[in-house]
Amino acid sequence: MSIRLQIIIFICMVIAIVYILRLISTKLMEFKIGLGWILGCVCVMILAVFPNLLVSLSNLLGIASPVNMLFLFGFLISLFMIFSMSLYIGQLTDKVKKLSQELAILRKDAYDRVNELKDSNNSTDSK
Amino acid sequence: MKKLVIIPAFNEEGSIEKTVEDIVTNAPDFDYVIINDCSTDKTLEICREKHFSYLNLPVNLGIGGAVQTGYRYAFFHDYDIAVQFDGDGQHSAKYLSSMSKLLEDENLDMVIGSRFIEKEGFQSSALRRVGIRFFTNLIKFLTGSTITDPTSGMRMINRKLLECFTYDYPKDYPEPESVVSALSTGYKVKEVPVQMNERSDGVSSISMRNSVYYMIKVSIAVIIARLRK
Repeated sequence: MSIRLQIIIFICMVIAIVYILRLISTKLMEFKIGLGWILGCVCVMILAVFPNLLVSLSNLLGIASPVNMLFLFGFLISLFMIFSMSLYIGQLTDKVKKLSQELAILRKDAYDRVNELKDSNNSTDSK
Repeated sequence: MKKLVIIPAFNEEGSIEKTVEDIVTNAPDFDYVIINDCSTDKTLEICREKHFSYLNLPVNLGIGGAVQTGYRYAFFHDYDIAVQFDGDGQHSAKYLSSMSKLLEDENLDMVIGSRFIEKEGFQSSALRRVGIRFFTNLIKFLTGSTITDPTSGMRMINRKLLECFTYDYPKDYPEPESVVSALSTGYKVKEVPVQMNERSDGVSSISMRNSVYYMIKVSIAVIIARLRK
């Protein structure tokens, strides 16, 4: 891996981390999810800074070019994040469903209750 | 005995009034509630104007979510029996009292109105019958029970199943799947012969385009439902 690529990857990761931190601080991204992305970025950054680590890892897995090891690593992290997003969306869908059902029921209950009170008021008035 | 008719309605402006009239006159000991699942036509306006009893969902949940809303409402308002009843004019309310009598007398957990026992009334298209027959056989294979009309939307349940379905009900195309979960948990399910009408208005939730998805989704869901218990 050339020193130029190392620097580019390093800078990209720094920008990404700063951006994610800002999203977390402005509450646009949830802390738990942001942390996952930051951990992923840090891992890629470490591999870019210490190419020896990358070389020994790719030898271990039988990957010819160390830079491919880096790409594989990034790909696996992305895959993991996408997968956890799918789980997360499933949970959210379920929560939204439950909330809308409760909301619909509460609205009817409130409406029925108001009508009941109106009726009882009317009947006491007429007496 | 408190009994509730649950009418899921998505764009049923042409038939909802007739459905409610049918229930009020032919099943007077039942309360009813319409679940308006974000209809884009005048369904909601009709419910408001006529002072029907209705629940208005703030977001579209699909047929499963809508029916579950009804179950949830029934469960938390202490109903003993709840019955799903389509808002498109396919079902007749005259069968409801005999269905609930059977449910109570034989101590059943679910009673399904089936088109295919006496094979009278509207029988659905030939292609659909092939699909329904397939599910009947699949359910027979998985649970050992014969359900001649597993896709029937006319189904009555007691309070035990009401509690189950309040917390866990399939999202889309829920009918065959929920029958299989009920059967595999050991609940007693029985069918009664009913006649259904051709829908008077509106469109079916299963179009030609997504019928392939329907077959695949329901087959897998039914198998998972069997394995889960």
